[in-house]
Amino acid sequence: MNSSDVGNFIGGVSFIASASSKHLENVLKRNFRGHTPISLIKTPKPLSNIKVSTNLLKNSSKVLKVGGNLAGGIGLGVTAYQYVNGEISREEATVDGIMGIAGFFWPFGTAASLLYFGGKLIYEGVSGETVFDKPAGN
Amino acid sequence: MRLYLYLHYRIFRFYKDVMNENQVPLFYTNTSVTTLLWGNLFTVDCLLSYLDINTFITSVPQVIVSFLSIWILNYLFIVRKKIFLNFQFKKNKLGGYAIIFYFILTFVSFLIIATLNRAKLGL
Repeated sequence: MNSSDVGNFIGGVSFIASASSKHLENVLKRNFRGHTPISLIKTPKPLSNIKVSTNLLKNSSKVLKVGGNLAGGIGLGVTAYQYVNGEISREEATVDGIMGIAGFFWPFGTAASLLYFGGKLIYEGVSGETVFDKPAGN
Repeated sequence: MRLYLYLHYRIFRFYKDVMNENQVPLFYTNTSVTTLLWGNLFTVDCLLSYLDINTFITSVPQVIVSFLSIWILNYLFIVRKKIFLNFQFKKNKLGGYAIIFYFILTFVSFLIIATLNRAKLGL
């Protein structure tokens, strides 16, 4: 796994953790803002809805939120490392850096960051091509 | 040390007051401070590498390990105990300018050193 793959993987972790945390927050909001001991997670039919402990949901939401934020910080570090070592172009480093920093500003910055890194991860994973041109030798 | 704690305080207040983050503001503060501190250390590491003296961070796993180490240590010794809330710090303009200056200094110093390193690589 090269550093670009690691960077994308960290972006993916941040993406999934933050999106899951947001989903759990919405579930809690729908369930009387977490004031009931048991919360109901709605699932598409024909599956039956899932009953989960509200405390478990709250804690999971917190852990995922922290995990997403931490992965975002590490992602910034990886971007800095890749830029210094000439593994990514100036343009990619600039956009990654801006989106990485935006990820610290919940909810809109995080949403923009999620869209960017999620989209990049999916595009590069599916097409096998990179969004930005790599510097010569990479 | 007081300046370092003040940085924690201002970032914490930012998340609490401006971003209305009530769920995990301490962790957000910890990650933000760690990112800045790691950035400073990495800049020094790059400078040492540029001057052909030494370099400590030579791979992505080392980036992750060094980042996580700072995050954990900072959390255990400063953020978890909420030391920065015991100093009766106040939000004032001078402090705000100092924090902004530190942000800019961190970013600009990294950019200059990174550009020098890339030029050395022929990019």
